[in-house]
Amino acid sequence: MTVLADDIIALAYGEAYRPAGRILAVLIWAIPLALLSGHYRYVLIACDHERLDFRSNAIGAASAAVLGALSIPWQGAVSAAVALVAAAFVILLIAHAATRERGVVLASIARVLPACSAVVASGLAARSV
Amino acid sequence: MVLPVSVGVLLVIYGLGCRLMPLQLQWLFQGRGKMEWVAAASVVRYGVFAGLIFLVLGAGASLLSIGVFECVSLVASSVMGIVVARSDLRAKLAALPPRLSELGAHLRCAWPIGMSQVCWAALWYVSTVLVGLWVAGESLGQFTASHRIVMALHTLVYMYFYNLLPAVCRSAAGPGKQMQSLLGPSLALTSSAGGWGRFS
Repeated sequence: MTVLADDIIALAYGEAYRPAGRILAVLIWAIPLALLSGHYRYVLIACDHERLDFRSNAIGAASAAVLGALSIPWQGAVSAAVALVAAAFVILLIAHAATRERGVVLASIARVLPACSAVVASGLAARSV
Repeated sequence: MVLPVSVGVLLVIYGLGCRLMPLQLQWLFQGRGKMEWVAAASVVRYGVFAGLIFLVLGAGASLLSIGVFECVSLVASSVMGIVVARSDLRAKLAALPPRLSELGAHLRCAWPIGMSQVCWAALWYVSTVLVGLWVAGESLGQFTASHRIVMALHTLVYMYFYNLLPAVCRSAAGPGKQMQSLLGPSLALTSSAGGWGRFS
């Protein structure tokens, strides 16, 4: 979707919206991050650590607000997408740290992050080409 | 910015609809592993809504009727949920009026999950609000166009974990390896599928 973002937007909303593709190309990465962090967050809920799930979401929301407030007035809508993706990544890190802190046996994100990072880099590089 | 009266009334009607959400009893069915009733309630809710839209809504109809249809569909699925909970789960209505001590205990248990959901919503919508406040214009339209597509895809993420949670809860009560064997493959699958899905 990163590579085809412009076409997807044009197909869904018409050619006038084609410039929104650059926003979708960034914003779409919030989805795999939410998929990953969901594992750790829902394990926290299942193990009776709902407050830790709340903490990670609260810090994530605050991160999105602060990053957005710092960047949107100068960089516009693309930076809003970057802020949201960065906040989703913050939630992943905090939820992951919380599960390890509580001794919950679960695969570490260290096993999947390198592959995901490579995919992100490849996608953005392919888009720029 | 002053909203038109009709929009304000529509918001109130949708607000009333939110009051019916707890009667869907989705968490009760989920906790008992009766996901088929959650699915059936969704079919009833959206089926009634779509039926009313196609059968009743015509040219020149008021926007408010859409909010009313939403409430009617919620009432229909709530009635189904209550009937099924009483017949299939032998659930009984709590004594009324509720005791304050019981309400306090419920609130103490539920507030972290409730606030977590509020923060999750803030995370996904705060950027839209900030773009609207500081940039607006074309940028806001472009951002919300992309955001809608992402939120539509996010529904799949929500549904995935909504269905996975009962199994995670059961495995949490078992030995640690049980959870690892459940979530290890899920992590590997979703990370690779999610990553490549975004790329392709």
